[in-house]
Amino acid sequence: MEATLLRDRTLIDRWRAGDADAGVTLLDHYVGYVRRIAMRLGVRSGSEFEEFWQDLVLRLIQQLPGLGERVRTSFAGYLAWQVRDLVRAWRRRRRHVVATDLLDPAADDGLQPDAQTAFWEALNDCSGQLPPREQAVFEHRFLGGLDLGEVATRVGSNANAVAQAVFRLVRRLRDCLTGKGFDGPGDLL
Amino acid sequence: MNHPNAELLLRFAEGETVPAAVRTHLAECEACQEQLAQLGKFEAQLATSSTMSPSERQALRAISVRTLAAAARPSRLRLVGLVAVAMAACLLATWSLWSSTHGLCDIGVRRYVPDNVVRAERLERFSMAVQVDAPRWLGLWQLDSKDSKRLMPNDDPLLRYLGAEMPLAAGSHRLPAAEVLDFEFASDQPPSSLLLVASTTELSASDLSAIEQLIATTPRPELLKAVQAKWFEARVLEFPAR
Repeated sequence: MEATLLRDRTLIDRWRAGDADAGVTLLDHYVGYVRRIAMRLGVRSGSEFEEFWQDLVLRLIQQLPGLGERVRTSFAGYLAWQVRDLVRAWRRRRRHVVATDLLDPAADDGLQPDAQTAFWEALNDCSGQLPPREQAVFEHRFLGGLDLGEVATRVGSNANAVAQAVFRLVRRLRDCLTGKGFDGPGDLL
Repeated sequence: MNHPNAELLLRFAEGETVPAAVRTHLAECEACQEQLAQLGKFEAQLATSSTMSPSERQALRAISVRTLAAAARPSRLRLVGLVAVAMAACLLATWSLWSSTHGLCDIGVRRYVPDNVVRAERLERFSMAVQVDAPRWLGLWQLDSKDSKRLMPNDDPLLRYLGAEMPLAAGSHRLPAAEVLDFEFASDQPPSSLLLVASTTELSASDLSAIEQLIATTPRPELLKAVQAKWFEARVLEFPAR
């Protein structure tokens, strides 16, 4: 079994047995990863992500009794699915509360989005313009952190074709981001 | 030499070992270097945009700790509660018992047909057995597919907690405190579920209003999570079938 999966399953088992510290440690490993996906899906950094994180932790607690069985190949993959599902639930819930979808970047909450949020909004927009296969490669490779072989398996292709897609999509995203005023890492600081 | 294929180029960018001929080619190939530079800049952009400040990381960790701690307490209680509930079930077959994934209470709901009403009225009643391991204030709502009704706290100050003393002391309690106050409903319109909110402090008017706003605006399947975002110990209990 892969080392990361082994570590995660061990932490899940301890957490299920009542060791809350194991749960905190497990979540610590993935908070950056979750944040990256959530921001890519339109959740803003700061208090909105904190609220999102709490909802996600509650969801994991509810699923904890069967979590070990659900995480067969990768806790990261399971989490990514949960994040996407939770964002969808948030959108539905908020549509019931207010007419404006608060996760819509165009919604005006009276706050200036910070630089990171603005970047992710721009990236979200740019990646949405990629062809479907490149979008899938982008998500697996840059958000999911999968290696070439894993991405190839998931998109039903081979490593060389995925690598070509990576260089192609990077060029497209860089052009798009530059057009939106994000020319390099320094723009985010 | 021809340009290396994309896979070799990407593996080189990731620091993997590639043939010496590829390395030599890359050292002299401006087009290849430009591709690698674009990739490097993009990854740097992503990395920078994902950076969390230590204070933000700490705040998120605090949320994890707090949320997990709130959920850990009930799991101990749940075990104790299940044993107690199982024993009660042997004695009283009419009790329907639930144990949720977290919270401070173990709860049983008893639905029954009162024997002192005219049969044509087709009314039924229910009461609850609630066990808490620390003092708790409770709020209770009856949920139907669309409507809801607050059962406790009652608007009537004399019946506010239906004879129970709040906060409930640690231990087992009957709600309402006396059978004469048991909750009544039409047999053909039983509640679909009950929302029970436990809190260490009395639910204020604004708390009640906020919960009722959630009940009114949140789809039922998502209601529990919405309420738990602020009241960790909330439960939704399916109403027992006949």
